Amino acid sequence: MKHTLYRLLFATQVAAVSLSLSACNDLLEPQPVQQLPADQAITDAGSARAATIGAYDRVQAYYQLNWPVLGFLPGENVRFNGTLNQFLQIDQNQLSADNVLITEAWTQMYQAVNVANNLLAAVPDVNDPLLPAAEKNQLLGEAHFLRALVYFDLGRGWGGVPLILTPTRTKENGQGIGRSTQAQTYDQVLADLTEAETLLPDATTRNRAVKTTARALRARLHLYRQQYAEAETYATQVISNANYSLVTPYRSISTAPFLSRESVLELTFSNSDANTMWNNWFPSALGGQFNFQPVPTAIALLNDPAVGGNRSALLATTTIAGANVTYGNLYSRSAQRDDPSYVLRLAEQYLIRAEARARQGKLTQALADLNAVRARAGVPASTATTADQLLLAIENERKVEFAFEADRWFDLVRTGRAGTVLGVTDQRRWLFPLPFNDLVADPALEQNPGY
Amino acid sequence: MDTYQAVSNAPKQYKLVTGPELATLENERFLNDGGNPSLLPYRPVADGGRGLPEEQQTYDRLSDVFRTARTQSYEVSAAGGSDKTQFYIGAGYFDQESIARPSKFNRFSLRVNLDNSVTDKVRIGTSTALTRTQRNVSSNDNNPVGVINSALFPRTNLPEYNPDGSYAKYGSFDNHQALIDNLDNDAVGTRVISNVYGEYRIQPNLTLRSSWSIDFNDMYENNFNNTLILAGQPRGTASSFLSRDITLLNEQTLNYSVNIGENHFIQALVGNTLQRNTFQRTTLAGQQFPGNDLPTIASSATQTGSSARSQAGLVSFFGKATYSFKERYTADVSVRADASSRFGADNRWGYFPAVGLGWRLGEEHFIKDLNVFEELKLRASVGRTGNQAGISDFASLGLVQGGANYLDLPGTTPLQLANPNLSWESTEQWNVGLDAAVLQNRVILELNYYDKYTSGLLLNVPVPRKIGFSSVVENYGAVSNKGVELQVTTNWLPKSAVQWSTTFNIARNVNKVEKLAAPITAGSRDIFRLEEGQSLYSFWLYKQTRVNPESGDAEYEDVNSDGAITVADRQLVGTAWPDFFGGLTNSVNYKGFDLGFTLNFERGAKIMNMNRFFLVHGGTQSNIGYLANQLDRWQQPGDQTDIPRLTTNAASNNYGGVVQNLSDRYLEDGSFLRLRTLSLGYSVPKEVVAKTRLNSLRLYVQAANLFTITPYSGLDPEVNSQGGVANTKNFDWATVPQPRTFQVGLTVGL
Repeated sequence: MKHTLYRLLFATQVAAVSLSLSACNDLLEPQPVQQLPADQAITDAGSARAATIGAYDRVQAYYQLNWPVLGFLPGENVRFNGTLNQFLQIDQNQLSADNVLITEAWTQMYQAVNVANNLLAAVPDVNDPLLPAAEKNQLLGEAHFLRALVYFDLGRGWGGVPLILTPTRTKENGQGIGRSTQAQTYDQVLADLTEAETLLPDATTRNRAVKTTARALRARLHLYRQQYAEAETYATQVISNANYSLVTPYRSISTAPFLSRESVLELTFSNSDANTMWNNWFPSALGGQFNFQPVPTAIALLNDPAVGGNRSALLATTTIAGANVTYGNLYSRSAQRDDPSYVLRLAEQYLIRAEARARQGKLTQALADLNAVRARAGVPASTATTADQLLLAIENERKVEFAFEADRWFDLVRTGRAGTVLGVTDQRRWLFPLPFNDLVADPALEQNPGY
Repeated sequence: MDTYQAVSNAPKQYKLVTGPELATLENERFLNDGGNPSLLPYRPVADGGRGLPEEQQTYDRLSDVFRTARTQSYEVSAAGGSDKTQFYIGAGYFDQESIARPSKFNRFSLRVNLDNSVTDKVRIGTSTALTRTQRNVSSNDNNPVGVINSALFPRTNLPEYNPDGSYAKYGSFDNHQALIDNLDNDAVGTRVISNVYGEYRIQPNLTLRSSWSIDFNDMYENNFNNTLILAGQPRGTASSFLSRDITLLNEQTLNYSVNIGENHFIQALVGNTLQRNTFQRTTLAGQQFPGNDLPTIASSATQTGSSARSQAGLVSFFGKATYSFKERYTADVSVRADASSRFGADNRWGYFPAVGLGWRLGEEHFIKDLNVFEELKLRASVGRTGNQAGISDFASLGLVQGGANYLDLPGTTPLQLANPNLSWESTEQWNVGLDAAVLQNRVILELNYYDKYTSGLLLNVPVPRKIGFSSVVENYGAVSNKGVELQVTTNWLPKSAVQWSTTFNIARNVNKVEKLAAPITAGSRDIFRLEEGQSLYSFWLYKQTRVNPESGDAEYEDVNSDGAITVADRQLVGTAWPDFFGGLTNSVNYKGFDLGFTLNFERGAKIMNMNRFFLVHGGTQSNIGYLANQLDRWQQPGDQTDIPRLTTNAASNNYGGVVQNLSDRYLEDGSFLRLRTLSLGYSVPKEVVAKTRLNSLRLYVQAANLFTITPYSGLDPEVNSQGGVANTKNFDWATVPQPRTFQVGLTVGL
């Protein structure tokens, strides 16, 4: 008995000591099973595809809530009815540099840029028979396109931004890279779009980038840069593509199964990758939070048969405690949670071309483009005759056509009319502030004036 | 056997405005915003309004939430054995209702210890503790659909139910009664801590011990949100979590002690430990249920799942030696080496030595001859310790993670930046102390001074987000803590039958961020900010200088004097550190009776009262009511107050605008004096107990938190609702206050 125990104890000690030595390495180098080392992320066909999907995921992240909000809430169609100050500031055009929504959007956008940069750096070196050249080109084209989209949004939101074009490995990467001008930012967008158009397939996919997607964004870019001839050219390329057409009624753009013939790029959601935007629009009686409320003037415009036409379908009404309550219904899939985020659609291409043509004095053609959009909405043709009248009519058309999408604020800032229309007369407020904590962490950055 | 029964309630309640007061405030806000006086929101119903202010009802939701809650506890234990074998078994049951409905908690526990001396030299033993907990929780603080928030925030003039009898909900807030009636959150925890050891006495003074233990901690949580609450919209949602946290630990020690002659005593110990921690979690969620009576995820139309897994290891070697001479001089020397898997491959090892010296001056003749001290001892130590807590298991690695899906295809995105230099956070400290007893041990004094310097702080350091990341974990900066602690115990009547003693203690700690290359903000709304030269837990807010008595608008300090209030004018306006804190304990024993109380106090710590931040909003929040504090607002020229004019005008910065209500007017003094406990007990004399065949019998009554004296306007000055958020403290957001409790207990020895 005694001896057995001694032996047992001795054996335990020997085991423990040898375990100490051999287990050290084992104990001290556990490998993560949920993650991959950053430098092994893109090595073959599968991982290159996954990283491309990841880039869409990051773009989806900022387009789900933050970007539409920054587009419609500073405008006059929607008021904020919730409790969070960051939204209130946006609604009241009183942004401060510590606004958390601004910070979050900026973060998500540069995350998307970094994913695209990783792809652009690694995919060319992937040698995998399972990744044919055509698909390799497609993945690279998508990375160029998504980077262009993000930098375009950064440019119209903040003005010139730091242009980061290589993947980040350490925190020193990007050190010293200050802000470029807005023109330089847009130049980068153009360079990426040009590359993307070459590399992308000539297909009709509506929730991933193809050649037409790049052309549509390019039309918008040229409009923002007041390069009207080019804007017209590229919008025409999209409009004349037989796979795209305006759909009637208006509501069928945003009706399941989505991906309508009008859609040039929409970001698809599903129940396992859910879009909860509806929750911000629905009244609490329908399970939402009613944070975004269409204002009475917007409701009147959308319900006016001569202005909104069948765009009144953007609104819905329910009865709460005996009173009728009208709410925004663009994002309505509360059970399926698969409302897409709308990025580019054909109606905008018509309005881009209408404006580009009006600016070039092609008034009849411009009017025809405008009326194409109006006809689809079931409203009478425009009676605008002069260029000024046309431009105003286009501006007002956009207000109802894209009432709850990421458009109104950027549109009025672009045309210099945010002061006249929205009363934001301090032009320094036409650009968003850079996140305050980033200025603290990065001496290379300079704040926009007025913040 | 030990048992007690207790009842608890909330010692203080939030004070909200009445319905008429709310309507008056709203009308005033409307006029201040330039509204048409004939279109006041609260005007006669006949004119299209919501009724005159005096016609408004007041609905008291908070009383539905807070209740008088019951607690019960039962414990039974037995110990015994022979010379060779000793055992202990114990069992307990504890059941507690929260003072805020509907939360409740219960716990079963079981413990068995067994030790056996196999021979003179070999001893083996085992102990096992098993605990099962069950809780039905509702989330509080930072959650608009938590029970307290849903009772506190809605406007008091709005009915709790719709005319059709359904639960009324306003804005983003749920109905409190709907939550109380329908919350179905069930978390069951099972924890087993088990250990075996063997000890071998190689020589009388040399012992080898090896122990092996496992800590198995399981949490199984099932939540179902039916369609009557917001979280269950639109057709019911449910989630299920299973998490498993396992720690394996093995330790060897070799213990040696020897007396050399009469005067020298040496004790030495060397050893090592190996530890592995594994964490796993599986999550399942379901949406769209056929009805509220089928709450299991299997019944749902859509199911999604996820999982997480993480692992860490720690390898340590240590040694310690104590030498004492004539029990007069003692010296301790220790050193340990630890390696943690969380750090960079070349930076895993940390070395932590310490030396302590003690001198019992009282044993020296020149002190004894003074005839003043019964005991006098000087202590001093210096050493270094390490910390690896607060970072994730793989914090030093550059990683890419999955789950970034699109079109239901798998996607990957970068997760974190690599930092191969990541290593131990270490604290170098020294302290000196003095213990003394005087006046025939009537007065015992302990005095201690310490100075700690922590460097290589493990912090999430912000990086410019333009590189696609927001922070990286680094050893960044240094912080110091210096403090003094004093404790005096007095035995008032050492030779009397009445034993009466009082202990008073007081302490002060000064904290300073010694090194930090750039400031770091923390917590909700960046309310906390770390800055070099300041202390941790400093509040970063706008400093309100006054409410202009003429205009009624709040004015803030323009720190950079640029003529405008911008975020650059946010500044550190106070800290959550107290100037000093301490307590007073008194106990009196006489013939089986014992009477005691404990007082605690703290002075000078600031608390951010987020309830005022949200509920004193000047009309900017159309779905939130008001705390009564809002009634102190400026109303007409000449008014002196710190609560500005009601308005939603952003440019005034009164409540919204750039300042976003982050005014230091909501930062309050959290000083307090609290009667922590007051108790009276009676132990039945042995001779009486003996007649009933019992060993001992004690009865007691105890009250906790009977009173608190504090200038703080919230419910409880000892609060921190941002538990789990690093570098934040004293942040009060709809937290359940510590209850006032009355307890009756019985201890029986069989």
